[in-house]
Amino acid sequence: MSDSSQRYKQQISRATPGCILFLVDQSNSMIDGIAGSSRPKAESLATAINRFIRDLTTECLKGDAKPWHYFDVSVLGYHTDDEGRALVGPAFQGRLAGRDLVSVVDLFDYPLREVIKEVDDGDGGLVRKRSYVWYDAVTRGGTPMTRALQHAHRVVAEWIGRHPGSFPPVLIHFTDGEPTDGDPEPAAEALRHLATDDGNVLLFNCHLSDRDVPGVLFPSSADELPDEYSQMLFRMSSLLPEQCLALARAKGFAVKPGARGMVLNADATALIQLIHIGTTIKKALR
Amino acid sequence: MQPNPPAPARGCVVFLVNTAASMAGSHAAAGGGSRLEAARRLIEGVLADLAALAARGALDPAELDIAVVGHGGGDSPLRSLLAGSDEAPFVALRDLPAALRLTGASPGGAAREGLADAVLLLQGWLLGQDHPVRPLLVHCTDEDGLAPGRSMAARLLRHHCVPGGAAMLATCGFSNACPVRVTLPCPAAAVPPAWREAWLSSSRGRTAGGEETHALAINDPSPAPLVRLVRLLARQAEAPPLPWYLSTADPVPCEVRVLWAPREGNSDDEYEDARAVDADAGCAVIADGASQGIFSRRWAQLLTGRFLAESPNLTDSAAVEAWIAAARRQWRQEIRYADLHGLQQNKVDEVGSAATLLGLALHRAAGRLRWRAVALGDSCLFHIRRGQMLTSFPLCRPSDFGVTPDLIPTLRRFCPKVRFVTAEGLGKMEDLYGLATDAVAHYLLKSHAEGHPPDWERLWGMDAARWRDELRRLRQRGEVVNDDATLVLLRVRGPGEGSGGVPRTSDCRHDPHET
Repeated sequence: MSDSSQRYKQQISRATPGCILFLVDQSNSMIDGIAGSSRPKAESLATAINRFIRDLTTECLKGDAKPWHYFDVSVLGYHTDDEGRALVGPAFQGRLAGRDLVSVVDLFDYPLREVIKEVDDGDGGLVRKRSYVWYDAVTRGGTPMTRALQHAHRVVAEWIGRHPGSFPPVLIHFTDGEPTDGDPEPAAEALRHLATDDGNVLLFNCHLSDRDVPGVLFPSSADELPDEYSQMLFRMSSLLPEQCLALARAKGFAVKPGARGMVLNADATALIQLIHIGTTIKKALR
Repeated sequence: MQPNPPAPARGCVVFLVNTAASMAGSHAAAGGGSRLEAARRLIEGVLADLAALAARGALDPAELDIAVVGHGGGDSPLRSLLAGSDEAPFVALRDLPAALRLTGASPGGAAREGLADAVLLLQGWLLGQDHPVRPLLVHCTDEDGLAPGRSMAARLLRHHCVPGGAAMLATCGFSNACPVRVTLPCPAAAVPPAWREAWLSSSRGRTAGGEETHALAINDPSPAPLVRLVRLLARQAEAPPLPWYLSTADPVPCEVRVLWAPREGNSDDEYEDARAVDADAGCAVIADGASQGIFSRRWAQLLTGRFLAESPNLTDSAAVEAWIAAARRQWRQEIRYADLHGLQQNKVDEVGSAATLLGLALHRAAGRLRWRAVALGDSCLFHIRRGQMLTSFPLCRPSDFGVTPDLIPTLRRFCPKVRFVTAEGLGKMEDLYGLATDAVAHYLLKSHAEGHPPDWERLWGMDAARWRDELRRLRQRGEVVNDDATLVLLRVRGPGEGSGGVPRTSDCRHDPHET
């Protein structure tokens, strides 16, 4: 790796595609609401992920029959079965089931289902609008976080092997609880240690805590966080690169130098903003 | 198509005031007070006289927009000196208070070039008008405000044209170093050496006796000459607007070179710029399709091809609207909307596409070689003579390139009324013209501004492989933004053909005080 100012500069192209991974805690407690809301966390999260996939795929549509292969996307879920055994792996369903990583072309071709709504056309009439779902929420069992990070490590390492010149993968991890399979910090560190020629993997964490505590966005110190689990996730999170800091500031966040890619108790809007800050970095660089 | 009844002609006067620290210096010729106060009194006098004319019915105060903007004070951009108009610097004369006092004009900071910023301000105004009167820009400054780069901005300003003629630049100097009074219009003999460049940069005219004059005043407190100029411009606009087409009769055939490349890392089929060239008609049009859009390559191709073929009358807003509507219909047909995937249909409906447009046509009129240009957005025309950049249009500084250029969208709601800025100038046989999309245009202007101007003859002789090699190196060094790149070069065909009848300067104009 050359000096840090030269990192995180690679543009997305078909020769150097990007990679976005969602790591989703699917444990039973994800059925509760976020930040006092009655809507299950798991559902808000599924909506945010589907919206993100829609936007990303749409962005890659340039005017050919298919989107251009600018991104690979992964949704990895983790929970345990009734016997407490870790179930970690790809969370896409339907035609994409069982695949750790899929291209935007596959996402375009194989959504889980199409939803048709009639919406106001702004001119007194109705227009049929098609939307798509790729990921349905799942909630079950415990929180094998360490195993999940290790699985993500394998997926990311394999992708980097094929795309050494690309912007590094961005991994966004959503969880609401304490890990049930030991200390995840070494696995997170190993993941952050992976790098392309353009920089280290970016690991962002979103802690959806059960505790009634105020939200925290992009903290620069563990002292800003209320409990050991959120402090652990802080330590697991990447420092925001300069470009991310600039984007976060452009979106109105008062981020300080040393801020990390972490949020605590984000509502759905902040959730989506986290995803955007984690991913639009590449768009801004084009 | 029958032209629609024209919208009422609307004029504008922009006062650009140097508010740098040097303007705090005393101004002996105006009876004490600072140079800035003298400038302020002059502007307030002009506005009071215009208001009095309006009260007598000699001027329509609803159809004359006024902006008074300060430049100076370090790196700050232009700021409005009319109270309460920070967001919208243009205020109709009718809406100005009776006893106007300019605000916020306390001098401070180093002088900076402000004319190029004022040109951008004026372009924004022009893009809002259906039937603009020739705009007048009055630059009030001392010697320190005549910064390097002003001449280029002045030429750019004076090339802007509307149906009645070219935009005008008047310079009102405030100087202790030249304790003389010079009245506008000013003949060559009256110009102090320090103001020679400012004189040349200001709009040109001719006295009844044929003597060349320019719109320069020095230490003249009288508002009368400027008021006369505004009235003259307003009267010229009383005639219905003449049609303005990019291509006209008597075209001048050209030789053309086209250099292009997709963004590094992309293949040729991902290139979303477009160009259409008719060498025999001396005409070229380029467009930069928005990379965030869908079917942008096709939209850029359609716009360039149709503009070249149809050359709509740009002074008839209905004709422009019809031209764009037809292009939009063709685009929608060609993309086969009904057969698209739902995500594609959603993108067509919600984002669509958009593109810049830049056109150039060379023709001959009254024995002179002339060029015409039309622009929307940040693709740039360069006019080169003997390796020197005479003009760039519509932008003239590398800092003028923003992230959100004006664009022609496929979705009408994003820009219900598309308008263009237009320019005209005179050329010579040996001149070179370059049309470039933003990444190349930015690089060329940056090179020019940093004192190592591009080698245009080398570009003219460059083959495609060499161009792509150089571009790759420049992109790797970060000197050229990695974006689709297009450079179309034109030169009048016919080696050995003389330049008979073609004047020496490229920017001579029919100024109102010439007639």
